[in-house]
Amino acid sequence: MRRPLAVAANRSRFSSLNQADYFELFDLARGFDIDAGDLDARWKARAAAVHPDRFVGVSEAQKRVAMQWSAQINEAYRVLRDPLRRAQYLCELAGHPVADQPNVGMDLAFLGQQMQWREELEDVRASADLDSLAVLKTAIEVDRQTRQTLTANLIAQGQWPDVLESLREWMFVEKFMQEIKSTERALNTTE
Amino acid sequence: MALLQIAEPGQSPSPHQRKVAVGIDLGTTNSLVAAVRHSVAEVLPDADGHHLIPSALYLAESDQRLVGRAALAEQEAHPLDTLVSIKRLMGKSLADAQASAMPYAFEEVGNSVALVTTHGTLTPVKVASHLLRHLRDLAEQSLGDDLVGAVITVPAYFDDAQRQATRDAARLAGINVLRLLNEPTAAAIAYGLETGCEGVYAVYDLGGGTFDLSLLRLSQGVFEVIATGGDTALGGDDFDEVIVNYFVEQTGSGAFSNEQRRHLLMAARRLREALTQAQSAEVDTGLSGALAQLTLTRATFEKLAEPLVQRTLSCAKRALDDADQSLADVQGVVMVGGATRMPLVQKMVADFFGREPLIELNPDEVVALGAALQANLLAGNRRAGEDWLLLDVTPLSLGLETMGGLVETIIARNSTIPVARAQEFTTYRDGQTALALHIVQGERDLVSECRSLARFELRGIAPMAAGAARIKVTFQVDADGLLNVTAQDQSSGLEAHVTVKPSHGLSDEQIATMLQESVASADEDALARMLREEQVTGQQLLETTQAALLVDGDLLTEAQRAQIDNALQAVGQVLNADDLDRVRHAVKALAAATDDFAAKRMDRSIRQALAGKSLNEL
Repeated sequence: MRRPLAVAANRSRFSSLNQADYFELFDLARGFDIDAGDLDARWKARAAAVHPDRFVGVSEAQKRVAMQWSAQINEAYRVLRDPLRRAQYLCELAGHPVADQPNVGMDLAFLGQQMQWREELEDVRASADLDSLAVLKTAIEVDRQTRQTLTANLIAQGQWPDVLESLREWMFVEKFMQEIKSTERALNTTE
Repeated sequence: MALLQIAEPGQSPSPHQRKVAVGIDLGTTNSLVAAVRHSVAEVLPDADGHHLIPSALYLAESDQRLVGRAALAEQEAHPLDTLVSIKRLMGKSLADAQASAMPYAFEEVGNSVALVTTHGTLTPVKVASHLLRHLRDLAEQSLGDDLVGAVITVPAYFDDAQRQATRDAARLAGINVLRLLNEPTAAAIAYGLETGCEGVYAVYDLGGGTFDLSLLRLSQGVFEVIATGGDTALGGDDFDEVIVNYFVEQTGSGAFSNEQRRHLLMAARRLREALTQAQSAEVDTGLSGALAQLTLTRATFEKLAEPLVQRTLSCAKRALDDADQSLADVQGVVMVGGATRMPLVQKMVADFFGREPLIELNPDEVVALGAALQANLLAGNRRAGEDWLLLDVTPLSLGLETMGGLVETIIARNSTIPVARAQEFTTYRDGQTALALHIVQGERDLVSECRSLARFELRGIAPMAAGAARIKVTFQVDADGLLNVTAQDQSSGLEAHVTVKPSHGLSDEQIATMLQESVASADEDALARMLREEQVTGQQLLETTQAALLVDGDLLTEAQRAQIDNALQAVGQVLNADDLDRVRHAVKALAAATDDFAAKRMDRSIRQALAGKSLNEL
């Protein structure tokens, strides 16, 4: 008999292997503001120190340890370099994991804005007009930046309920940006 | 096994003693073996001075085998007993092979496809192991020493099954695999170290049977792959295929036997190679009738070939999108693989990237040279100041099947490896006590459109309401790109795990049996060599363990310490006995007794290394 399959439980996004704090791992102060170039250099320095290529002659047990550390450092870098993931991670560290939040009603003005953007994207798709797509993309990018700044400020002030609300809206915008990019790719390919 | 040598990572324990390691490019059409000698990477020639060894195996009667040029010489006379392009079948099922249009007879052995010849049936892994064995012998003769290991290259776009199959073949050939290295990455190492260039580079690698496109960021001492794309069923062979199909259509010829088809493919290959220089070419096929002689102009060929090159450029486009890079960001395009000699390929690649591709390095050799450089580094032979770090990625997304035949992606493609990521899953029904995990690889949302890698079960979950159980599933991809999956019930700690043994490959038991067969047939010389090797290993382990106890003995409890002391004593007693089994047994016991100690030392050493980073780096 075929066993029932797994169902995604969708709890934490950051179930780290040895519970190390990603900021500590990179010797950074816990916070939203991070310099991308500096983070990159810190990642590479650490990756170089623990990469399995450094430990080729050792036993299987030792290779496993090196691999786990290496994976941990790569995961920390993946989370910290991306502003949205970084914000989500900070929420989790503060004891307010995003995925666990009940889906409280979103701001009506925000939802209205969303619907308007979606209609505009539909129009662009129908007309295949790259110029108006570029205009829409710029507007979304500005909005995304604003939400990122707002979320960062709220994080700095430790106002977690507000952070979560702002973060959820930011996630919507981010997702919409992905749709714009895939539309852009599709239109460029058909040309 | 240098168990506890972690004080100076990457350094040879005894610097005066050079360790011989090679790079092997196991290609679809040709294979090469290269090594670093006198600080320079070079391809090792065979006895006749050839660098390229055809990836061909001829099976004659009475277990006689020919490899390389000698095998290829039999192809005219024995087209079905001369096995070529077998790399295309690595890690494939019978159904995959039958769909491939390769003119051989196939059957199923275990879960793997096998090739049926007049004198025997072989799996692709076995064929590859013969090729690798040949390359290993060539290297050992050329270098005059035993190999400590090899870096073997694989197409970046190889999936887990194809990688496992390659590693299994190396094991069967008695080769210690230091690392499976992606071919375009190997090329980038050779190119980057040669030219010292920095910035974003694309490696366009069109081989005999596979295509890869990797984007790398080269910066001081770091080779960082930022995205890779490709097609493991697109290479020079496919260009031959379209030529054959064209003539068959032109002449309205009917069905062909495998043998006739092989003759046509050989003729098409000669035509294509001639058209690299000439505007028109003509070949004899050795068949009779309308297809006895074929004539083709370059213009016609290019019309036939254009859609194939277009496919490679679509892969390039996607890799650029994935990396969030535009064409203008790419500072150079490195051409790799013999098939990039086709003028059409060079022209279309130049048009696409808006710059002339870089062709100063020999496209046939650059992968093997890069692999040799990496092998030399991994073996600990690097000189002071000579060091680099390689950060590669997973080519394909990895996920689990969930309800409704959907895929939940756990590790997205182009994640830097090693990577480990965990996600929680739960049960679907009340009282459910077992969970089926189906691991898939691919980019589609539907399971049916992805490659099935493995299935396993977690049983004994405490019965609970649907959705209450918490099962943590961890996917881990190591530096060779190989996947390992663990499932753990969070409430009970109950665990199940698999090293993903793909659905279409050889089982561990099959490999073990094949290995045993080769040991059984080993002659006395070989047995004496094994004993000697085992004694050296034992002696090293003894010394390193004693040294480690002095430094890090505080990591052990008294009981653990006593256990290690006993094992040490046992090894000391049997080390000089002339009994392979006893030596092997004692060494194994010592290795097992020190396993946990070794892991703890490693953890301490890494923590210290990381703590050092926070103080002095930057």
